[in-house]
Amino acid sequence: MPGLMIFFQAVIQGIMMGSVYFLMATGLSMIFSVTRLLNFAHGDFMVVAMYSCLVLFVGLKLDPYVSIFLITPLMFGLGLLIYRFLIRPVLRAHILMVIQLTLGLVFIVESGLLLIFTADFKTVPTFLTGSKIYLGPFIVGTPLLVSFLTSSFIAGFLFWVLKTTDFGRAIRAIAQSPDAAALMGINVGRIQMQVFGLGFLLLGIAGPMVIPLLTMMPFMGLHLTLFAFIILVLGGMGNFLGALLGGLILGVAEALGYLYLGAGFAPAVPYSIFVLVLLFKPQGLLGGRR
Amino acid sequence: MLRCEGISAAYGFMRVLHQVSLEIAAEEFVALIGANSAGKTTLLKIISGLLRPFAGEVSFRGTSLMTLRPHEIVHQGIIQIPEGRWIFPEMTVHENLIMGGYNVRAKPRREANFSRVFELFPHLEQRRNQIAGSLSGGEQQMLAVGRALMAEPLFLMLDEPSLGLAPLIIDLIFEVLLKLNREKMTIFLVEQNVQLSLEVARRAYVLEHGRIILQGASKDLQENEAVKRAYLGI
Repeated sequence: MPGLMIFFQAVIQGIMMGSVYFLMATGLSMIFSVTRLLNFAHGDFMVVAMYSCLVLFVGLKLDPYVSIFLITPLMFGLGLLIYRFLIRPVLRAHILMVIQLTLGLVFIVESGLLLIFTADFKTVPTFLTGSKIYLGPFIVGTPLLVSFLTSSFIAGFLFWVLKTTDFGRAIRAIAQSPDAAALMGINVGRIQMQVFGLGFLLLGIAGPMVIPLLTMMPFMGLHLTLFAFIILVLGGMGNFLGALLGGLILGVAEALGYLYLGAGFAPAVPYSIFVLVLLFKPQGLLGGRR
Repeated sequence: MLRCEGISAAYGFMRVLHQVSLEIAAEEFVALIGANSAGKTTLLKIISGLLRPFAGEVSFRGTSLMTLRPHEIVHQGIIQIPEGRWIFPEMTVHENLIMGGYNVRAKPRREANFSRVFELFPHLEQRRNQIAGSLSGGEQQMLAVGRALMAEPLFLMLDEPSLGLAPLIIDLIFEVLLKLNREKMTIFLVEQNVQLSLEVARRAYVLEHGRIILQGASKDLQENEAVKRAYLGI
């Protein structure tokens, strides 16, 4: 039955792409749970990581998969700096101030990228681009498989950190009550900053890995942020496993949309699911915090 | 050991504390009593660093706490069990206790402190892997006390520990407090239950509308006509 085979092929690709979406969204979700901050520029910083690969390729001939090891620590540092000097000063102010600040960052980053790299679509070749692997009867692009394996490993690692380390427990404690966490002797401000940096670090991994999968352009960041928001609402705000589930649902929905509805309607599928969840289960599929 | 001098605090334009001064020596058991909204919780929040007064100074063992942040005050050995307990509802009993022993001072003796807490509250050991939010009110209060002990307090503050609990549980909690105090822990108890407070504490301050109006040995206050009329209903 060729129809069924194609269906499963799309589901597999969707799950794999979804795992990358998870990588992007979980940082946003963790940041939200410890700071109650929604960073509208989150996706844009993933684009920054992608363009960094371009710079490293043009300048040093580095393959994006090698650049990951340079870009992740840089992104972590960038996250710490942005948190310390831009976010933290306004965090206690009105929520609208914080939203305005991160929206402002969207425009700054996007205009900056436009100035430097122009509006042309860009790609960076990698040593895996174009290669394929046969998984039984199914064909998967090697870059997608690598992204999937990396994301799965990171998901498992993050879950272990949250469950069993003092750092992870401190994150969960702050998510439940920042004041109670402070009374336990947790340096709440420092953990918030580290989590913000961690979210950026994950973007530093996700960005280079999607280079063989997506074409770069300066304005794609807000679209990525929107996807991350949809994932968070799908799974429940600040819910780690919810972000995983949300990412996978979004990936599969998108893949099936392309298969059955064509490129014209497919982009509407994730948004339709988003609306349905908001209508019937507004607290998210696994529940979350407001 | 702990000294508050001329503390004044406000929420917006509403003054809640006026020039509050008090002093608690090492190994004492002192109560702060007064009606609801007298400013008791506000004072504890100031000592823990969760709130800044606009005037006055808190010092602990000779050093000022005014520039310290809440987690640094915890590291000094000042541990608060807040009103409403503030346990972590989505964590297990075991994880809540681990959080109590999170600070660097107490962390090395985490295992020993576990056995100490389970010795005082055997009930918690049975509930070890239960989600804390599903515990009864009494069990949650035991957990809150146990979690505070994991932090090895030098100075333990409790805000309304008897609130909403069955008499049997209240007795259990207060017996533990007396035992801890005999083992030389300094305890500062904030309570609306005046009768109970004056029975366990040796000394007390009376806070009314944000002012300390009376202070003295518990047995003197129990005989005081104003206290009798206002708080003991005699």
